[in-house]
Amino acid sequence: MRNIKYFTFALLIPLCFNSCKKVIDFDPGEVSPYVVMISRPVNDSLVTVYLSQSVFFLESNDMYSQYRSISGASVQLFVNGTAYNGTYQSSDGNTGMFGHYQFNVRPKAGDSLYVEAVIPGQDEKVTASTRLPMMPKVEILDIWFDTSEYYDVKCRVKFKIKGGDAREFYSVSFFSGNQMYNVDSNTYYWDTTDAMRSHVYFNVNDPVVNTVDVSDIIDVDDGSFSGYTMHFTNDKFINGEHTFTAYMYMYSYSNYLIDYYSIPIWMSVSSMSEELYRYQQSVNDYSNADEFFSEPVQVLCNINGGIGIFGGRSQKTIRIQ
Amino acid sequence: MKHIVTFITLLIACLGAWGQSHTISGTVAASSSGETLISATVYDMVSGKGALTNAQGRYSLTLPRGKVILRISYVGYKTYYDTIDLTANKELNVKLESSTQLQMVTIRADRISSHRSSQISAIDVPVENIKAIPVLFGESDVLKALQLLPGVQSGTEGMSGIYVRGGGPDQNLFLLDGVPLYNVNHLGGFFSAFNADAIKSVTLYKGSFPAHFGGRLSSVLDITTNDGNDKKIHGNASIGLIAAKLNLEGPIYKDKTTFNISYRRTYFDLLMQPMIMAIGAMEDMGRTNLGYYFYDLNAKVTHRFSTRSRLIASWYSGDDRIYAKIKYNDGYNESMKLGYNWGNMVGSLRWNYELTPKLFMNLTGAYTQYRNDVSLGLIEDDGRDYYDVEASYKSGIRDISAKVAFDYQPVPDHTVKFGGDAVHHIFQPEVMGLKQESSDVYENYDTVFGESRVHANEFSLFIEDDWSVTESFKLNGGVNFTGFAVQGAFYPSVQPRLSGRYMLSEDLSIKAGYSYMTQYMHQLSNSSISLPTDLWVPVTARIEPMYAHQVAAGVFYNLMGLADLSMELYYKKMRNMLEYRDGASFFGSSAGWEDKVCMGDGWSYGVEFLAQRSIGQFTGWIGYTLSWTMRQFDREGQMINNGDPFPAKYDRRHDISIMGSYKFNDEIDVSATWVYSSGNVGTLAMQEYFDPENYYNIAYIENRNNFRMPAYHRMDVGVNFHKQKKHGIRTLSLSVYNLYNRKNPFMVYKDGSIHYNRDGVRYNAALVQLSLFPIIPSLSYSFKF
Repeated sequence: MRNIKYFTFALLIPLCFNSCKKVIDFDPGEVSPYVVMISRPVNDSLVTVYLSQSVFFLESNDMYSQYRSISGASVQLFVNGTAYNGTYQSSDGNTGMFGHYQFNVRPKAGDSLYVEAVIPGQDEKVTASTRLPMMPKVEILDIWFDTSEYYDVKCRVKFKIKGGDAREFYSVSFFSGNQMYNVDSNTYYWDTTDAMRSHVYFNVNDPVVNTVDVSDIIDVDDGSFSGYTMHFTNDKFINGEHTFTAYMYMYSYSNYLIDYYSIPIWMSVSSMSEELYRYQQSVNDYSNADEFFSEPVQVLCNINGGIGIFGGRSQKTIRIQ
Repeated sequence: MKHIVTFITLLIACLGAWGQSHTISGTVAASSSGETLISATVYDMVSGKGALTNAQGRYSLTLPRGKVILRISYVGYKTYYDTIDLTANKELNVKLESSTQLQMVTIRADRISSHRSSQISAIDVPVENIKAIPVLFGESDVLKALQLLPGVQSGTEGMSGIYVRGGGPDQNLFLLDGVPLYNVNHLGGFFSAFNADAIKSVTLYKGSFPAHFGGRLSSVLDITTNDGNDKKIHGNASIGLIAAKLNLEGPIYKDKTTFNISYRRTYFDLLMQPMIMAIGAMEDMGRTNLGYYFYDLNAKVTHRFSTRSRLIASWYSGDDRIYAKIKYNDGYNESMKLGYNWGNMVGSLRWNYELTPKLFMNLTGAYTQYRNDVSLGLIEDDGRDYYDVEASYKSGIRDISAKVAFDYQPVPDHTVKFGGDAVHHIFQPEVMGLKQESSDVYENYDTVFGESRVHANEFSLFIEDDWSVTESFKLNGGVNFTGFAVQGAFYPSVQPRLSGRYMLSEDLSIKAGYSYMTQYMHQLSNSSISLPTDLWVPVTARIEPMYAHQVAAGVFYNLMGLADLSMELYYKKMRNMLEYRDGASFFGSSAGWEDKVCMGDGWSYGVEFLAQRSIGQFTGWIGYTLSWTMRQFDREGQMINNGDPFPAKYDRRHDISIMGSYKFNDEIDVSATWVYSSGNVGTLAMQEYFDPENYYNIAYIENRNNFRMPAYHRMDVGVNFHKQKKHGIRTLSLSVYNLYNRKNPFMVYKDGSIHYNRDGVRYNAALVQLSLFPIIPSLSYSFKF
C-alpha cells in the first residue's frame, strides 16, 4: 500500500509542475521589412502617397509610435502618362498627418494613375496603378424620420446609384455636422470638429454582400447627438439602376428633444476602383474578425515590390437634409 | 452482329459448363460464442477457388462436381478441413475453434493476408489491438486507433477527428451496422462515440471504394457490432478514470435469439456533486445540481429463423449532457434550469435472407438523427405574482432510409453485389423558441422563429463485381449512381469504381484502383474543436456537391506469413470543397452560411508504408506517410489567398506511428505506441504596418497557412494484468499517456510580452505555444465473466 502511495506521488509531481504554456524560439531566418505604400487618390484633390516600412511582428508593439516613414525616396506619379514629382512633407503635429509625398496635381474622374517609387538601398522599384472611376450618379428617392422614442431618432434614406463603370464598387457614408468641410478626404478625416464616419463598401453585382451593419455613422462632437448603428440593404435592381435603403438609429444623450430637422445630414458616395474596394473590404473583415473562432484575414494589396494600397475613387457629397 | 452471336454462344457454353457444378454455402462462426466471422476464407484446394464470408458471416462457393477439399480459416482460429464429394448443392455451417489459450476468446476481425485481396486502400483493425492501445485517460477509442494508421491523420492534440488522405473531417462516412452516424465525438472531440466493448469489426476504406459505398469523399469507416453469444450469458464490467462500462451478451432463446447490450457513462459529475452542493450552500443557493456527462448505449438483438434467415434489430444512442438546476433562497422562489443535450440516435432493423445458395439478400430500414438542444428556464413565484420563461434552441439532422443489397455468385469467379437505397433527410439548421407564462396573461407568449426545416431526398443504385479473371489477376469493378433532390434542384452523379490485383508470386502482389465519389452535405465548423453547434447542411442551388477522383497503386508482400508489408501511392483531386471566407465565423450562428463560404479545389498526394503483424505473441504495426495536401480557391468572388494554392490546415509532410503489443503469457501483456508527425500549419502575420490615412494597424499575412508549428511526438505505454478468478477473468490496466511529458503544440499565438531569444535579442512580443496534455497516468479495472 505504501508503494502505491509513493508511486501515485511520483506520477502527480510532474503533473503539478507541468506548465501548459511555453515561449517558442521562432527563427524566421532573414526577414526584411516590406515597403508599405498607402494612397487613395480622390477626384479633384491633391494626391498624397505614404511610404513606410513594415515591422517584424515580434518587434511590434505600438505601430502608431513605430511608424517608419521613408523620406529619401524618389517618387513619381503619372496621370494619363504625364509625370509629376512628389515632394516629401514631414509629419505635421497640427494636422496629425504622417510624413508623406505630395503631388501638385488634382486628377479627374476617369483618369489613369501610375506611381513609381525608387527607395534608397533597394534595387526593385515599388510601383502600382489605379484608375479613378467615373463619377457616381446618386438620387435620393425618399427620406423619413421617426421620433417616437424621446431621445432617439430613426432615419431611413432610400436612394439609387448608377455608376459610369461596368463593375460598380461603391462606398457610402452618412454624416452630420454644422458645416460642410472640404471634400478632399485627406483633410476632413483629421478635422476634430467633423464627424468620424464609417463607410459601407459594396459591389452592386455581388450577391454575397447585400446587408451591412456599421457603427458610429453619425457622431457629432458637441454631445447632443450621437449616431449608433446603420442597416444597409441592397433592395432591387430596377431599370438598370440599383436602389438601396439605409436605416439609421441615432441616439441622443442629451436631456432635451432634438430638433432633428435643423441638423444637416450629408451623404457621401464614392465610386471605387476594384483594388480599393477589395482592400477596404478585407480591412473591414480584419478589424471585425474574432481572434479565436474566425478564419484569419488576409488584407489584400496591389503594390508591386511592396505591400499596401494604391486605389482611386471618385467621390460625390450631397446634403440630404 | 456476327461477333455478338459468337460471344453469346460462348457465354452460354461457359455457363453450361457450370451446369456441371454445385454450390456450397453456409455460415462461418466462432464455436465458443456463435458469433459470425466476417471475411473468413473458404477455399477449395482441388480447384483453387475460394470465397470470403460477407458481413453476415455467410459464404457461397460454386464448384465443379466431384471431390472438394475445403479449407476454412480465420486468423486466431484453428483451420478447418473437410473433404466432400460434391454431387448436389450443399449447406455447410462451420464453427471454428479458437487457437488461443485464453478461456475467453476475443474475436479478431483480421482478413486474409491483405496482399491477396483485390481491395486496395482498406485496412482492418483488429478490435483486440484497439483495446490494447494505451490512450488518453485509459479509454479505448476506435478513432484514436485509426489515427495511428498511414494515410489517417489526427487533428489537434487529443482529438478523435480523423483526416484521411487530405480530406476534411466531414468527408468521412461512419457506418455503425451499416447506418450513418453524423456526430462521432464526445466532450468536444476528446472521445469518440464508439464503445470498443460493443464492436466486432472495424474496416477503414481510404480509397478505391467498393461501389456499394458512397456519400463521402475521403473515407468509409465500416463498424459492425457484436451479435451476442448464443450459448450462455457473458459480460464485461469495467471502471476507468473517467467512465464506467458494462457489456452483457447471451442467448434469449438458445441457438435462436441472442442479445448484446453495452453501456458506457462518465461519472465525473456524480463525484463532483457533493462539492457542488457545498458551494451552492455557501453561496446561499438552495438546491444546486449541475454537471456534465456523456453516455453510449449499444443494443442488438439477433433472431435466427433458420440458417438461411436472420432478423437483426440494433440500436445506438449516445448523448453529451450539461445540466443545471439551481434554486435560490431569496424569498421569491427563483429557480433556474439549464439543459444542453447533443448526440446521436440510430435504430435499424435488418433482415438477412438466403434466397438461393447463390443469392443472399440484406434488407435494412433505418432511422438516424443528430440533435443539439438547448433549453433555459427561469421561474419566479413570490406567492402573489409569478412568471415562468423558457428559451430553447434546436438544430440537427434526421434521416429515414431503406436499403436492399444482394450478394450473388453466378459462377465461382464472380461475386456480384447490387442494390439500392433511398434516404429522406430532414435538416433543421436552427430553430429558436421563446415561451412565457405569467400571472399577467397579457404578457404571455409562445413563439418559434428561425430557419425552417429543409427536406432532401437522396437515392443510390449500385452494382459491383469481384471477378477472378485468372488465378493471378482479380478485378473489382462497379458503379454507384446517386441523385440528390433539394429545394427544387436535382444533382445526379454516376460514380465509377475500379480496382485490380495481380499476384506476381504467392507472396507478392501489385494493386491499383480508381474511385469517383460525390458528397451532398457539409458540416459547418471552423474550430479545431468539435462543437455541438457544428451543423450539417445540404447542398443548395448555390453550393454544389463536392466530388473527388482518386487513384491509388501499391505493392503488397506477405513476409513468410509473419507480417504484411505494403506501400501505396495515391493522388486525390477534390472539387467544390468549402472553406470559410477570411474572417468568417460560425460560432453562435449559421445564418446566411452560404455567404460565409467559398468553393474551391483541393488535391492531395503521397505515399504510405505499412508493416503489420496480426498473429503471434507480438502484434502491431509500423506506419509511415509522406504526403502533401493543398487547397486552391480562385473562383470569381470566392478567392482565398489571392487565388493562389496554399497548404491545407492538416497538411503534414511526415507521419510515423509505431504500435506494438506483446503478450508474455495469459496473465501479462504490454503495449506501447509512439507517434511522430510534422507540425500542423497555421497562419501567422509576419509583418505589421500602419495605415496612416485610416489609423489602422494591420497584420500582414503573405500566405494562408504559412507557418508550421513544432513537430508532434508522443509515447504511450500500457500494461494489462489478467487473473483467472472463480467466475471470470479480472484485468487490471495501467497506462501512461505522453510518457516522456512532451509539450506538444495545441495552438500557437502571439503574446505581447517582452521576450529575449537564446542569443539575448530583445523582442516586444513572443510566440507562445499552448499545450494540452502532459504525462497522464490512468488505471482501470475490468471483470469479464
